[in-house]
Amino acid sequence: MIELGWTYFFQIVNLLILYLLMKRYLFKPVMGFIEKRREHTEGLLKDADESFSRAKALQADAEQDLNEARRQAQAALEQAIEHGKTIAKELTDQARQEEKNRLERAQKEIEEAKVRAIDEMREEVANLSVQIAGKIVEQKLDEDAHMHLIDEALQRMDDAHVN
Amino acid sequence: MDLEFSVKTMFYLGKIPVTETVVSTWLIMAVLVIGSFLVTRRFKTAKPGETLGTTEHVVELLVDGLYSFIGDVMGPKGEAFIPYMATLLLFLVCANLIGLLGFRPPTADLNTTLGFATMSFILIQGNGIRSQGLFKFIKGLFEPFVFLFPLNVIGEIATPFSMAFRLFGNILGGMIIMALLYGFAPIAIPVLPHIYFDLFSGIIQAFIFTMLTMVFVAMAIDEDEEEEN
Repeated sequence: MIELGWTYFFQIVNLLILYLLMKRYLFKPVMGFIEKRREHTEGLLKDADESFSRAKALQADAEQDLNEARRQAQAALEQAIEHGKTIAKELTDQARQEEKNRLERAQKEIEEAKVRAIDEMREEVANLSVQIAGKIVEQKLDEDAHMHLIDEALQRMDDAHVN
Repeated sequence: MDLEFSVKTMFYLGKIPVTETVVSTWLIMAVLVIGSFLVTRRFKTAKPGETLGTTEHVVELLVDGLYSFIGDVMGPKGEAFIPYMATLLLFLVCANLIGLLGFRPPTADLNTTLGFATMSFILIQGNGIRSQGLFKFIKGLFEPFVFLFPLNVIGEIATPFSMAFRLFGNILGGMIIMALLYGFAPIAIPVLPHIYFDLFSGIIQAFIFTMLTMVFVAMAIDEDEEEEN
């Protein structure tokens, strides 16, 4: 039942051959694949980390831009308000000036109308005076000499009135 | 009852006899190698992110498990031994379980177990010499006292024999008991003993043989480290 022989050497050689074949066909490919996948996974994780930090940087940039934009918008708004106020003031001033001008023009017109009316009235009074005087003295006077006399009288009246 | 337990010679290669043990060993080798080749074909072409099939996952789990288990036992210096130890464990498990298929287990032949134990002996002593140097290694045999040298040598040589006979005896014993059992109760009764003698004992003995080889080799390669510290 127990006898040592050629089988002893056969089995040692068999074990060595099996070892070499298993190493080549089982352990190397499987461990190689596991290693490859580990590297792949690490690469993915690294990529994800990089993407994350890049995203964070982008977010920070975006926030900064947003704040900048907000600041600019605020400034623009304030500027616009300022500008609006200036325009409103200008318009008000202009309107006030126009109003004043119109008032002055109207006063001037009134003044002129008054002067014209006084002149007309004076002429009328003169004519009336000539007619009245003509009727009173019933004496036909030279009209030119008459007018001269009346003008002189009026002048005197005016001077007296002025003085 | 006429039972014959000696190993039959199947045929002759020239003048060299090829026994039943060798033939069943070749069968196991063929199954393991061809199976490995077929299963790992996809591992070579697969892209890292690709999802593999169920078979590939099982094989990956097995190989990864073996690597981490043996790596844990032998430490970082023993990484180079992992493929050998894993091969040894896989082969011994298959060899001890092949009895379930009606073949004679190769491990029920002292030639096999002593051959494997010889390999373990060479690995243990060879790595002992390599890590300590020949002088220190021989000096170690004279410690702690000079006159303990014979006992130390016997202790070292006894290791492979104890491993070989333990495995051989367990498997052959189980085989004999099963054969006797089949002699008087061939139906139903042998199921439970099969579970014990073939499955349980077979896997345990394969594990013990491999574990002892791993521990002794790990001790041999760790020796110099202890001295350095």
